[in-house]
Amino acid sequence: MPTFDGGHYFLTALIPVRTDVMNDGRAVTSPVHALRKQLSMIPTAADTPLRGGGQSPFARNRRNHFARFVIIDDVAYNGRLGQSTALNAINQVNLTVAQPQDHLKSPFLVFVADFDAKSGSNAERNSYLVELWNTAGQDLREIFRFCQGFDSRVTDGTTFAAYMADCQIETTMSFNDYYADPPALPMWPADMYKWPVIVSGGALLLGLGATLLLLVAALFARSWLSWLPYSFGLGLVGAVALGLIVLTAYMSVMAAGGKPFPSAQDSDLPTVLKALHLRSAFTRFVIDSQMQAAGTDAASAQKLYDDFKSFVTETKPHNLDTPTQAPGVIGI
Amino acid sequence: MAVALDLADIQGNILRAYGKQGFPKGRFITLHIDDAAKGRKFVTDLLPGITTALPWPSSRKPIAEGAVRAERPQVAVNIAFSWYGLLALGIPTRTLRGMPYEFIDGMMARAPMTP
Repeated sequence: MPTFDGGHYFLTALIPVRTDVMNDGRAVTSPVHALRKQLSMIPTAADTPLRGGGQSPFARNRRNHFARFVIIDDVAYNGRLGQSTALNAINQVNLTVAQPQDHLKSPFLVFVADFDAKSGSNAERNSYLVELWNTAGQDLREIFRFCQGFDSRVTDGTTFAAYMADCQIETTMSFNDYYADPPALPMWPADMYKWPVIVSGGALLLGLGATLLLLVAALFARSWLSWLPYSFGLGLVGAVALGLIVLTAYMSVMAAGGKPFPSAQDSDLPTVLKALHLRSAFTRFVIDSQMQAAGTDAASAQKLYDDFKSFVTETKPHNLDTPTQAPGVIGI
Repeated sequence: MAVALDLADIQGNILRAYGKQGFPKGRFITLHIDDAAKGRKFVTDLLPGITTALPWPSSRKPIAEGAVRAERPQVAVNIAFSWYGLLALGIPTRTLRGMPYEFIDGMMARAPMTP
Protein backbone atom coordinates (compact mmCIF):
# COMPACT_ATOMS: atom_id res chain seq x y z
CA MET A 1 0.00 0.00 0.00
CA PRO A 2 2.31 2.79 -1.16
CA THR A 3 -0.23 5.50 -0.28
CA PHE A 4 1.07 4.95 3.24
CA ASP A 5 4.71 3.97 3.59
CA GLY A 6 7.62 4.60 5.92
CA GLY A 7 5.56 6.64 8.37
CA HIS A 8 4.42 9.06 5.66
CA TYR A 9 1.10 9.41 3.88
CA PHE A 10 1.51 10.09 0.15
CA LEU A 11 -1.58 11.87 -1.09
CA THR A 12 -2.25 11.98 -4.82
CA ALA A 13 -5.38 13.69 -6.12
CA LEU A 14 -6.46 14.21 -9.74
CA ILE A 15 -8.93 17.07 -9.85
CA PRO A 16 -10.81 17.83 -13.09
CA VAL A 17 -10.47 21.44 -14.24
CA ARG A 18 -13.58 23.33 -15.43
CA THR A 19 -14.01 23.60 -19.17
CA ASP A 20 -16.51 26.46 -19.41
CA VAL A 21 -15.39 29.90 -20.56
CA MET A 22 -14.91 32.29 -17.64
CA ASN A 23 -13.93 35.83 -16.80
CA ASP A 24 -10.84 35.99 -14.59
CA GLY A 25 -11.42 39.65 -13.75
CA ARG A 26 -9.37 41.02 -16.64
CA ALA A 27 -10.41 39.07 -19.70
CA VAL A 28 -12.61 36.25 -20.92
CA THR A 29 -10.44 33.16 -20.76
CA SER A 30 -10.42 29.44 -20.04
CA PRO A 31 -10.17 28.09 -16.46
CA VAL A 32 -7.05 26.06 -17.24
CA HIS A 33 -5.31 29.15 -18.62
CA ALA A 34 -6.27 31.19 -15.55
CA LEU A 35 -5.27 28.31 -13.26
CA ARG A 36 -1.83 28.09 -14.85
CA LYS A 37 -1.36 31.83 -14.30
CA GLN A 38 -2.50 31.51 -10.67
CA LEU A 39 -0.10 28.62 -10.01
CA SER A 40 2.79 30.57 -11.51
CA MET A 41 2.24 33.28 -8.92
CA ILE A 42 2.47 31.08 -5.79
CA PRO A 43 5.79 31.59 -4.01
CA THR A 44 7.47 28.18 -3.92
CA ALA A 45 9.38 28.88 -0.70
CA ALA A 46 10.63 31.89 1.25
CA ASP A 47 11.33 34.34 -1.57
CA THR A 48 14.10 36.90 -1.49
CA PRO A 49 12.93 40.53 -1.15
CA LEU A 50 13.88 41.02 -4.82
CA ARG A 51 11.34 38.38 -5.83
CA GLY A 52 8.61 39.89 -3.68
CA GLY A 53 9.47 38.39 -0.30
CA GLY A 54 6.51 35.98 -0.33
CA GLN A 55 6.28 32.66 1.40
CA SER A 56 4.70 29.40 0.24
CA PRO A 57 1.21 28.87 1.71
CA PHE A 58 2.28 25.31 2.53
CA ALA A 59 4.82 26.68 5.03
CA ARG A 60 2.03 27.90 7.30
CA ASN A 61 1.73 24.61 9.13
CA ARG A 62 4.31 22.08 10.21
CA ARG A 63 2.91 19.04 8.43
CA ASN A 64 3.95 19.36 4.78
CA HIS A 65 7.08 17.54 3.76
CA PHE A 66 6.52 18.18 0.07
CA ALA A 67 3.57 19.52 -1.89
CA ARG A 68 3.29 19.93 -5.65
CA PHE A 69 0.76 21.10 -8.22
CA VAL A 70 0.92 19.96 -11.84
CA ILE A 71 -1.53 20.50 -14.70
CA ILE A 72 -2.19 17.64 -17.10
CA ASP A 73 -3.70 19.08 -20.27
CA ASP A 74 -4.12 15.82 -22.09
CA VAL A 75 -2.59 12.39 -22.34
CA ALA A 76 0.24 12.05 -24.83
CA TYR A 77 -0.16 9.82 -27.86
CA ASN A 78 2.67 7.31 -27.68
CA GLY A 79 2.51 6.32 -31.31
CA ARG A 80 1.05 3.40 -33.13
CA LEU A 81 0.65 0.15 -31.22
CA GLY A 82 3.08 -2.23 -32.86
CA GLN A 83 2.03 -5.57 -34.28
CA SER A 84 3.77 -8.39 -36.08
CA THR A 85 4.48 -7.51 -39.72
CA ALA A 86 3.39 -11.00 -40.74
CA LEU A 87 0.05 -10.60 -38.94
CA ASN A 88 -0.44 -7.18 -40.56
CA ALA A 89 0.17 -8.70 -43.98
CA ILE A 90 -2.26 -11.57 -43.35
CA ASN A 91 -4.97 -9.30 -41.94
CA GLN A 92 -4.30 -6.70 -44.65
CA VAL A 93 -3.89 -3.91 -42.09
CA ASN A 94 -3.58 -0.51 -43.74
CA LEU A 95 -0.81 1.27 -41.81
CA THR A 96 -1.80 4.65 -43.20
CA VAL A 97 -5.12 4.52 -41.35
CA ALA A 98 -4.64 6.05 -37.91
CA GLN A 99 -5.43 4.07 -34.79
CA PRO A 100 -7.88 5.58 -32.30
CA GLN A 101 -6.26 7.97 -29.80
CA ASP A 102 -7.27 8.58 -26.20
CA HIS A 103 -7.89 12.10 -24.95
CA LEU A 104 -9.04 13.51 -21.63
CA LYS A 105 -12.47 15.09 -21.34
CA SER A 106 -10.98 17.98 -19.39
CA PRO A 107 -7.56 19.06 -18.15
CA PHE A 108 -6.67 17.80 -14.67
CA LEU A 109 -4.95 19.46 -11.75
CA VAL A 110 -2.67 17.03 -9.94
CA PHE A 111 -2.01 17.66 -6.26
CA VAL A 112 0.56 15.52 -4.50
CA ALA A 113 1.66 15.95 -0.91
CA ASP A 114 3.30 13.86 1.77
CA PHE A 115 2.93 14.27 5.48
CA ASP A 116 3.63 12.38 8.72
CA ALA A 117 1.12 9.67 9.58
CA LYS A 118 1.02 6.78 12.01
CA SER A 119 -1.41 4.37 10.38
CA GLY A 120 -2.33 5.83 6.98
CA SER A 121 -6.01 5.94 7.88
CA ASN A 122 -8.53 8.17 6.12
CA ALA A 123 -8.99 10.09 9.38
CA GLU A 124 -5.32 11.12 9.29
CA ARG A 125 -5.67 12.28 5.68
CA ASN A 126 -8.76 14.28 6.58
CA SER A 127 -7.11 15.87 9.60
CA TYR A 128 -4.18 16.96 7.37
CA LEU A 129 -6.52 18.42 4.74
CA VAL A 130 -8.58 20.25 7.36
CA GLU A 131 -5.44 21.77 8.87
CA LEU A 132 -4.20 22.69 5.38
CA TRP A 133 -7.50 24.44 4.72
CA ASN A 134 -7.48 26.21 8.08
CA THR A 135 -3.98 27.59 7.53
CA ALA A 136 -4.00 28.26 3.77
CA GLY A 137 -7.68 28.12 2.80
CA GLN A 138 -7.80 31.43 0.94
CA ASP A 139 -4.77 30.56 -1.21
CA LEU A 140 -6.22 27.11 -1.93
CA ARG A 141 -9.56 28.64 -2.93
CA GLU A 142 -7.76 30.88 -5.45
CA ILE A 143 -6.37 27.70 -7.06
CA PHE A 144 -9.20 25.21 -6.70
CA ARG A 145 -11.95 27.59 -7.82
CA PHE A 146 -10.99 26.66 -11.38
CA CYS A 147 -11.81 23.01 -10.66
CA GLN A 148 -15.12 21.30 -11.31
CA GLY A 149 -17.61 21.30 -8.46
CA PHE A 150 -15.32 23.14 -6.03
CA ASP A 151 -17.36 26.32 -5.57
CA SER A 152 -20.59 24.46 -4.95
CA ARG A 153 -19.15 21.82 -2.62
CA VAL A 154 -16.37 23.35 -0.55
CA THR A 155 -17.18 25.78 2.22
CA ASP A 156 -14.81 24.74 5.03
CA GLY A 157 -12.06 22.30 5.97
CA THR A 158 -14.36 19.29 6.30
CA THR A 159 -15.97 19.77 2.90
CA PHE A 160 -12.52 20.40 1.38
CA ALA A 161 -11.30 17.08 2.82
CA ALA A 162 -14.37 15.30 1.40
CA TYR A 163 -13.82 16.93 -2.03
CA MET A 164 -10.17 15.87 -2.11
CA ALA A 165 -11.05 12.36 -0.90
CA ASP A 166 -13.34 11.98 -3.92
CA CYS A 167 -10.50 12.98 -6.25
CA GLN A 168 -7.87 10.83 -4.55
CA ILE A 169 -6.21 8.01 -6.47
CA GLU A 170 -3.86 5.34 -5.16
CA THR A 171 -0.24 6.42 -5.04
CA THR A 172 1.75 3.76 -6.79
CA MET A 173 5.21 5.22 -6.44
CA SER A 174 6.01 6.91 -3.16
CA PHE A 175 9.05 9.02 -2.51
CA ASN A 176 10.86 7.84 0.63
CA ASP A 177 13.88 10.03 1.03
CA TYR A 178 14.78 9.75 4.71
CA TYR A 179 16.37 6.31 4.89
CA ALA A 180 19.94 6.92 6.02
CA ASP A 181 20.24 3.20 6.73
CA PRO A 182 18.16 0.45 5.14
CA PRO A 183 15.28 -0.53 7.43
CA ALA A 184 15.51 -3.84 9.30
CA LEU A 185 12.99 -5.98 7.45
CA PRO A 186 12.00 -9.50 8.57
CA MET A 187 13.13 -12.34 6.30
CA TRP A 188 10.51 -14.32 4.48
CA PRO A 189 10.29 -17.71 6.34
CA ALA A 190 11.52 -19.90 3.49
CA ASP A 191 12.41 -22.74 5.91
CA MET A 192 8.75 -23.08 6.85
CA TYR A 193 7.95 -24.20 3.30
CA LYS A 194 11.01 -26.41 2.74
CA TRP A 195 9.81 -29.74 4.19
CA PRO A 196 6.20 -29.50 2.98
CA VAL A 197 7.52 -28.89 -0.56
CA ILE A 198 9.97 -31.83 -0.31
CA VAL A 199 7.31 -34.21 1.06
CA SER A 200 4.53 -33.23 -1.35
CA GLY A 201 6.94 -33.06 -4.32
CA GLY A 202 8.33 -36.48 -3.34
CA ALA A 203 4.82 -37.93 -3.17
CA LEU A 204 4.05 -36.50 -6.60
CA LEU A 205 7.22 -37.90 -8.16
CA LEU A 206 6.82 -41.27 -6.40
CA GLY A 207 3.19 -41.53 -7.53
CA LEU A 208 4.03 -40.63 -11.13
CA GLY A 209 7.04 -42.97 -11.24
CA ALA A 210 5.06 -45.84 -9.76
CA THR A 211 2.19 -45.26 -12.20
CA LEU A 212 4.58 -45.42 -15.17
CA LEU A 213 6.27 -48.55 -13.82
CA LEU A 214 2.91 -50.25 -13.23
CA LEU A 215 1.75 -49.40 -16.75
CA VAL A 216 4.94 -50.93 -18.17
CA ALA A 217 4.58 -53.95 -15.87
CA ALA A 218 0.94 -54.38 -16.95
CA LEU A 219 2.18 -55.05 -20.47
CA PHE A 220 3.61 -58.32 -19.14
CA ALA A 221 1.02 -59.21 -16.44
CA ARG A 222 -2.41 -57.58 -16.25
CA SER A 223 -2.65 -58.24 -12.50
CA TRP A 224 -0.33 -55.24 -11.88
CA LEU A 225 -3.19 -52.95 -13.00
CA SER A 226 -5.01 -53.49 -9.68
CA TRP A 227 -2.25 -51.43 -7.97
CA LEU A 228 -2.74 -48.52 -10.35
CA PRO A 229 -5.37 -46.53 -8.32
CA TYR A 230 -2.98 -46.40 -5.31
CA SER A 231 -0.01 -45.04 -7.21
CA PHE A 232 -2.16 -42.62 -9.20
CA GLY A 233 -3.88 -41.50 -5.99
CA LEU A 234 -0.52 -40.86 -4.32
CA GLY A 235 0.61 -38.73 -7.27
CA LEU A 236 -2.66 -36.79 -7.25
CA VAL A 237 -2.49 -36.09 -3.50
CA GLY A 238 1.12 -34.94 -3.93
CA ALA A 239 0.17 -32.61 -6.83
CA VAL A 240 -2.74 -31.04 -4.91
CA ALA A 241 -0.64 -30.59 -1.77
CA LEU A 242 2.23 -29.04 -3.75
CA GLY A 243 -0.20 -26.68 -5.51
CA LEU A 244 -1.69 -25.56 -2.19
CA ILE A 245 1.76 -24.98 -0.65
CA VAL A 246 2.95 -22.91 -3.63
CA LEU A 247 -0.28 -20.87 -3.54
CA THR A 248 0.11 -20.23 0.20
CA ALA A 249 3.74 -19.19 -0.27
CA TYR A 250 2.80 -16.85 -3.13
CA MET A 251 0.04 -15.23 -1.09
CA SER A 252 2.37 -14.86 1.88
CA VAL A 253 4.99 -13.11 -0.32
CA MET A 254 2.34 -10.78 -1.77
CA ALA A 255 0.96 -9.98 1.69
CA ALA A 256 4.48 -9.23 2.98
CA GLY A 257 5.10 -6.98 -0.05
CA GLY A 258 1.87 -5.09 0.61
CA LYS A 259 2.87 -4.13 4.14
CA PRO A 260 4.15 -0.55 4.55
CA PHE A 261 7.79 -0.04 5.45
CA PRO A 262 8.49 0.94 9.05
CA SER A 263 9.14 4.62 9.74
CA ALA A 264 12.69 5.72 9.13
CA GLN A 265 14.40 7.02 12.23
CA ASP A 266 13.91 10.75 12.89
CA SER A 267 11.93 11.24 9.67
CA ASP A 268 8.98 13.26 10.98
CA LEU A 269 8.90 16.90 9.94
CA PRO A 270 9.62 18.54 13.35
CA THR A 271 12.79 16.39 13.68
CA VAL A 272 13.86 17.15 10.10
CA LEU A 273 13.40 20.90 10.69
CA LYS A 274 15.33 20.70 13.95
CA ALA A 275 18.15 18.83 12.18
CA LEU A 276 18.31 21.52 9.47
CA HIS A 277 18.44 24.21 12.15
CA LEU A 278 21.21 22.40 14.04
CA ARG A 279 23.20 21.93 10.88
CA SER A 280 23.11 25.60 9.97
CA ALA A 281 23.78 26.70 13.57
CA PHE A 282 26.69 24.27 13.88
CA THR A 283 28.16 25.45 10.56
CA ARG A 284 28.09 28.99 11.92
CA PHE A 285 29.66 27.78 15.20
CA VAL A 286 32.49 26.03 13.35
CA ILE A 287 33.24 29.14 11.29
CA ASP A 288 33.21 31.37 14.38
CA SER A 289 35.40 29.01 16.44
CA GLN A 290 38.23 28.54 13.94
CA MET A 291 40.68 30.72 15.93
CA GLN A 292 40.06 28.81 19.18
CA ALA A 293 40.33 25.46 17.38
CA ALA A 294 43.66 26.47 15.81
CA GLY A 295 45.08 27.77 19.13
CA THR A 296 47.40 25.51 21.10
CA ASP A 297 47.27 27.29 24.46
CA ALA A 298 45.04 26.30 27.35
CA ALA A 299 42.97 29.51 27.15
CA SER A 300 41.87 28.75 23.57
CA ALA A 301 40.88 25.23 24.55
CA GLN A 302 38.89 26.54 27.51
CA LYS A 303 37.20 29.18 25.31
CA LEU A 304 36.27 26.52 22.72
CA TYR A 305 34.89 24.33 25.51
CA ASP A 306 32.84 27.19 26.96
CA ASP A 307 31.60 28.27 23.52
CA PHE A 308 30.42 24.77 22.68
CA LYS A 309 28.67 24.56 26.03
CA SER A 310 26.79 27.77 25.33
CA PHE A 311 26.08 26.51 21.74
CA VAL A 312 24.38 23.41 23.20
CA THR A 313 22.53 25.52 25.77
CA GLU A 314 21.25 27.87 23.08
CA THR A 315 20.31 25.33 20.39
CA LYS A 316 18.77 22.75 22.78
CA PRO A 317 19.37 19.70 20.51
CA HIS A 318 16.71 17.62 22.26
CA ASN A 319 13.96 20.24 22.12
CA LEU A 320 12.12 19.80 18.80
CA ASP A 321 9.91 22.86 19.23
CA THR A 322 12.39 25.65 19.79
CA PRO A 323 14.73 26.87 18.50
CA THR A 324 14.13 25.30 15.10
CA GLN A 325 14.03 26.16 11.41
CA ALA A 326 10.82 27.63 10.07
CA PRO A 327 9.18 25.53 7.33
CA GLY A 328 9.63 26.69 3.74
CA VAL A 329 13.07 28.20 4.31
CA ILE A 330 15.91 27.17 2.04
CA GLY A 331 19.45 27.71 3.24
CA ILE A 332 22.41 26.05 4.91
CA MET B 1 -12.17 11.37 -29.36
CA ALA B 2 -10.83 14.62 -30.76
CA VAL B 3 -8.30 16.88 -29.07
CA ALA B 4 -10.00 19.71 -27.15
CA LEU B 5 -8.04 22.87 -27.97
CA ASP B 6 -7.65 25.49 -25.24
CA LEU B 7 -9.03 28.27 -27.44
CA ALA B 8 -8.40 30.95 -24.80
CA ASP B 9 -4.69 30.14 -25.04
CA ILE B 10 -4.53 30.49 -28.85
CA GLN B 11 -4.50 33.86 -30.64
CA GLY B 12 -7.43 34.60 -32.91
CA ASN B 13 -5.32 35.14 -36.02
CA ILE B 14 -4.10 31.53 -35.83
CA LEU B 15 -7.50 29.90 -36.25
CA ARG B 16 -9.62 32.61 -37.90
CA ALA B 17 -9.71 34.04 -41.39
CA TYR B 18 -10.16 37.67 -40.31
CA GLY B 19 -10.62 38.83 -43.91
CA LYS B 20 -13.73 36.68 -44.27
CA GLN B 21 -15.12 37.69 -40.90
CA GLY B 22 -15.50 41.43 -41.45
CA PHE B 23 -11.95 42.60 -40.85
CA PRO B 24 -10.78 43.46 -44.37
CA LYS B 25 -7.94 45.80 -43.35
CA GLY B 26 -4.87 45.14 -41.28
CA ARG B 27 -2.20 47.31 -39.74
CA PHE B 28 1.19 46.22 -38.40
CA ILE B 29 2.84 48.21 -35.64
CA THR B 30 6.42 47.28 -34.76
CA LEU B 31 7.64 48.18 -31.31
CA HIS B 32 11.20 48.39 -30.04
CA ILE B 33 11.94 47.42 -26.44
CA ASP B 34 14.58 49.37 -24.52
CA ASP B 35 13.61 48.58 -20.96
CA ALA B 36 12.87 44.91 -20.21
CA ALA B 37 10.71 45.53 -17.12
CA LYS B 38 8.63 48.23 -18.83
CA GLY B 39 8.33 46.05 -21.92
CA ARG B 40 6.97 43.16 -19.86
CA LYS B 41 4.52 45.48 -18.13
CA PHE B 42 3.34 46.73 -21.52
CA VAL B 43 2.72 43.16 -22.69
CA THR B 44 0.91 42.29 -19.44
CA ASP B 45 -1.33 45.35 -19.79
CA LEU B 46 -2.01 44.53 -23.43
CA LEU B 47 -2.95 40.89 -22.74
CA PRO B 48 -6.64 41.40 -21.81
CA GLY B 49 -7.11 43.19 -25.13
CA ILE B 50 -5.70 40.37 -27.27
CA THR B 51 -8.24 38.63 -29.51
CA THR B 52 -8.27 34.94 -28.67
CA ALA B 53 -9.62 32.03 -30.71
CA LEU B 54 -12.67 31.73 -28.44
CA PRO B 55 -15.87 31.66 -30.54
CA TRP B 56 -17.93 34.86 -30.82
CA PRO B 57 -21.71 34.71 -30.65
CA SER B 58 -23.12 34.57 -34.18
CA SER B 59 -26.44 33.85 -35.84
CA ARG B 60 -25.22 30.41 -36.88
CA LYS B 61 -23.70 29.47 -33.52
CA PRO B 62 -25.58 31.38 -30.81
CA ILE B 63 -24.22 31.41 -27.26
CA ALA B 64 -26.79 31.51 -24.46
CA GLU B 65 -27.63 34.96 -23.09
CA GLY B 66 -26.07 35.50 -19.68
CA ALA B 67 -23.34 32.91 -20.24
CA VAL B 68 -19.77 34.18 -20.08
CA ARG B 69 -18.67 34.71 -23.66
CA ALA B 70 -16.01 36.45 -25.68
CA GLU B 71 -17.64 39.36 -27.51
CA ARG B 72 -16.79 40.18 -31.08
CA PRO B 73 -14.22 43.01 -30.88
CA GLN B 74 -14.32 46.27 -32.88
CA VAL B 75 -10.73 45.66 -33.84
CA ALA B 76 -8.95 42.33 -33.62
CA VAL B 77 -5.59 42.73 -31.85
CA ASN B 78 -2.82 40.16 -31.95
CA ILE B 79 0.84 40.22 -31.02
CA ALA B 80 3.98 38.44 -32.14
CA PHE B 81 7.58 38.55 -31.01
CA SER B 82 10.89 38.16 -32.75
CA TRP B 83 13.52 36.13 -30.93
CA TYR B 84 15.52 39.30 -30.25
CA GLY B 85 12.33 40.87 -28.92
CA LEU B 86 12.01 38.06 -26.39
CA LEU B 87 15.67 38.54 -25.47
CA ALA B 88 15.06 42.25 -24.93
CA LEU B 89 12.09 41.41 -22.67
CA GLY B 90 14.45 39.42 -20.43
CA ILE B 91 12.90 36.00 -21.05
CA PRO B 92 14.89 33.32 -19.16
CA THR B 93 17.83 31.91 -21.15
CA ARG B 94 16.46 28.45 -20.44
CA THR B 95 13.38 29.31 -22.49
CA LEU B 96 15.25 31.17 -25.23
CA ARG B 97 17.67 28.32 -25.90
CA GLY B 98 14.78 25.98 -26.56
CA MET B 99 13.51 27.98 -29.55
CA PRO B 100 13.87 26.66 -33.12
CA TYR B 101 16.98 27.84 -35.00
CA GLU B 102 14.82 29.19 -37.83
CA PHE B 103 13.02 31.47 -35.36
CA ILE B 104 16.28 32.60 -33.76
CA ASP B 105 17.79 33.38 -37.17
CA GLY B 106 14.76 35.42 -38.18
CA MET B 107 13.26 36.19 -41.58
CA MET B 108 16.00 38.56 -42.75
CA ALA B 109 18.78 36.03 -42.24
CA ARG B 110 16.78 33.30 -43.93
CA ALA B 111 15.43 35.34 -46.85
CA PRO B 112 18.32 34.49 -49.23
CA MET B 113 17.45 30.80 -48.86
CA THR B 114 14.20 31.22 -50.77
CA PRO B 115 14.47 31.17 -54.57
